[in-house]
Amino acid sequence: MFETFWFALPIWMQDLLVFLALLAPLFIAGLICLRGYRITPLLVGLLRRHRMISLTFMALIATSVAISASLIAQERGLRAGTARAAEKFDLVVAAPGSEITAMLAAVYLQPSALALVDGDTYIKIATHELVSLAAPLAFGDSWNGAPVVGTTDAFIEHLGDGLSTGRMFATIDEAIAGAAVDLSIGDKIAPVHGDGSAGAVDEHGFEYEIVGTLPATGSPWDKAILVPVESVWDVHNLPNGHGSDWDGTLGAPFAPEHFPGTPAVLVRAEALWANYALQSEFNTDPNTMAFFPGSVLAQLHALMGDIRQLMSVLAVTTQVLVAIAVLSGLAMLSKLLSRRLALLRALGAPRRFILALNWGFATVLIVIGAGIGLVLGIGATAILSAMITQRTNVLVTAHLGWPELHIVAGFVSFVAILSFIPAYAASRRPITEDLRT
Amino acid sequence: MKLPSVPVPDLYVKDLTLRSPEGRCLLSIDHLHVAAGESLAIKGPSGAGKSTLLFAIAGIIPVSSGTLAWGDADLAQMSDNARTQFRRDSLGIIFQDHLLFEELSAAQNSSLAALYNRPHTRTNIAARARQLLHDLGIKDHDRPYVDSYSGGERQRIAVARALAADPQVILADEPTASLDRETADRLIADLTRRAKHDGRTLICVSHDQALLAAADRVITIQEGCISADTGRHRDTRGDNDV
Amino acid sequence: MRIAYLAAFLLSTTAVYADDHKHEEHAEQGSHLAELGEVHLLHAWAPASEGGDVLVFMEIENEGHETVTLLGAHAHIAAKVELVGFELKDGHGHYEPLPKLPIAAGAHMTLAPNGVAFQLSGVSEHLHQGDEFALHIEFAAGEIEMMVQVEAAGATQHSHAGHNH
Ligand SMILES: Nc1ncnc2c1ncn2[C@@H]1O[C@H](COP(=O)(O)OP(=O)(O)OP(=O)(O)O)[C@@H](O)[C@H]1O
Ligand SMILES: [Mg+2]
Repeated sequence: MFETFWFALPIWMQDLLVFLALLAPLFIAGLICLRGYRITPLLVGLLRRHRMISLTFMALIATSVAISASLIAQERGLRAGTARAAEKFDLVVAAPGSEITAMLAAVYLQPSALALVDGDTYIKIATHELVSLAAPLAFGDSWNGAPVVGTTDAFIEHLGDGLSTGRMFATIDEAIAGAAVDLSIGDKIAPVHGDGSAGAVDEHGFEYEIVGTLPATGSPWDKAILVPVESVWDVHNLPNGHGSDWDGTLGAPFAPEHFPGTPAVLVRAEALWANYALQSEFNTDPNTMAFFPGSVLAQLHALMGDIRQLMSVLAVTTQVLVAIAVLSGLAMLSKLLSRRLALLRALGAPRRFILALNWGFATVLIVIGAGIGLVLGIGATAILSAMITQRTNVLVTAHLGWPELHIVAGFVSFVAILSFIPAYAASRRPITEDLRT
Repeated sequence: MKLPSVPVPDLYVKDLTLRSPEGRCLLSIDHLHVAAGESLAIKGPSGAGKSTLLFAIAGIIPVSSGTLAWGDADLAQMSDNARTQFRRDSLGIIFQDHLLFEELSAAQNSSLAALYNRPHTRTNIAARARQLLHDLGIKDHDRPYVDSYSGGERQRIAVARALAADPQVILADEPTASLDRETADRLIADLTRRAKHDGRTLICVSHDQALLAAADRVITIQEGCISADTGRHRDTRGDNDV
Repeated sequence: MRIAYLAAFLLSTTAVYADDHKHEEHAEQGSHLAELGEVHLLHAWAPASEGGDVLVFMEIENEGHETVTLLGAHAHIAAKVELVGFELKDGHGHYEPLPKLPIAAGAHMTLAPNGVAFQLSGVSEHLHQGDEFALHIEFAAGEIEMMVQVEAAGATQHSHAGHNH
């Protein structure tokens, strides 16, 4: 009954209802505790009088909320960003080994040593009836820290859905620059072996001219320079994939006996079923391993889900610890306030009024602190996203969303309930002593 | 602007003792009867226990033994909550050192009772408070902080606060202490008129001769005991040595 | 890419189990094995659930010399069964229906989470760990019934596969 009703609701409505349900304890407690009283003038007075303390407490709460909300949002952003970056990579075939290493190398261009897929296997893949695109991906060189990847024009077309400026490479000394590479058409580059970080620069003495640039893809490929795969083989003194009668036309078809091997092959079929059929076939072949970066990523994401849960727990724990610190601070503050509270009692204010005042004070600090924390969290999220994007080249666009709002709402409610403890203690203090001090 | 209220009860005190937490005897009163509508002044040397007696009468300090009854209601037997409610419903208290909320305005301070009294009485209390401030000569009630007022002005704001809910019984601890003669006399006239005219009971701790003269009756407290009672309405069974 | 490395490191444990799985001798098979000609189906399993949508996974080995084509399945306990494949789109994974799935001669097809599966929808029963139910699997060449074992709710593989030798 309830389930059918619940699942019939739009997702945002479910999220909103969960949010409100999480805040419900706060409202119910507030309603019961404040009913019939007007504490606002005294509350405003207290906040004004203890301005610095109040601001400090709110800042503490805001910081902890901001940090945890933005971290959790970041994880979501990273998940979406890594998935988006993998979208163009339907099926990757590599020599048997670790799928994750191969994925990190092929999709995220992380330097790693992969065994090679040999020529016969490559030709078998490329000529399979279900395959609509097969492209070698040859990594290993770099220019100014930007990976230089040897491939074919077909892959570049697929990756960028066309070029943004210039034209496709036509000879082995021409190259295409990714959107985030600081090169323009006509620039000349001389790649080095390795990622250029080892210190000893090992130049090949080979120059490329940039003839075109790719549109932004939000993936590490934006940082890459794409060159004809033949040239990569060439500069490493390997056969260039074509026989001696080669007329210089780049790309397929390659001759298996002149094919020196490639660390990875991107494979694409038109239909999903065909991709899966290809995967099982190449996976059964002892020479190759075939995997969907999307599936590997989904596994990683499931794992990140566990990390996320751990992070959420840690975040909430931190928040609660901060809240407890703040509440102990408030308990001390209410000792400072004890004369006023005793005066109110002496004038005839009921205990519940004192309770309400103390609770209201704590709750205002918590709610405003959490609110400021969310606003700060939006900023922190943007900054963190930019940093991650900068460091990984995976475009991460994280936003605070419902999950963060839910955590913060739960936190606010929990601490609001918790703050009844010091508030209750304050309402039980002896009047006479406090009045005389 | 009258608030609904119960009739003023008499105050009966019998064999009352009050000890400090350490056990020292602070008050020991065999017998005291204050009739409804009477105005009583309490004098005595510093440290004699005048404020303590006033607090006991208000139910702020619980008594150690004996009877302390307003009409039929014995404060000595009541719960803390009931005593608080009694103060809220029937008492107006002026404290020795004013005890104002520095961060509130004069108007807010004097209408404090509106914050925790029954919602329907709020506008009445607030309006009475404003009228009282005006009558007592306090200008610009809405100055945001009360701490900019002079000592005398603060005293009068405390008086307005005590009277705002139109209490049956007014308890005052040195209400004229920091007032100039003229303002003090006006306040004394106002308080005693209220007692006589409206039938309110007034119990004041004071050394102010003018106030002592205006009261129906003066008792002297020494070392926690009543050492003298000049009362015109003295209880016949009283065994005070005049 | 620190995070990806961390994740990769953590996932390596899982990878070890997956390798074990490949090398496993299917000694103890019983009802976990079904055969249609030279096509072997084994280790069919589904995670425990309260009904609704349930994914069924298994291993299919085509030991014959011709491509066999998997078409779909049906089950008494489900209103509908579809052959589906996992796909990551716009950063979100979902299962897309597959019209068919050819399994080449000699190829092994592993139906696994985040890959190919049979999606049962409208499952009327609660599936508890240890339960079994029948699934009729349709190939172009014919149909075969197989018992599906219900594993723990969070399982990622059949309990006879992998680590519990
Ligand atoms: N809680 C307490 N514990 C111990 N002694 C107390 C306590 N409260 C009051 N006293 C003592 O009781 C005595 C009476 O105090 P009280 O404040 O009633 O004096 P008072 O007559 O009002 O004096 P003053 O004219 O200076 O205001 C004082 O000696 C005071 O120190
Ligand atoms: Mg005193």
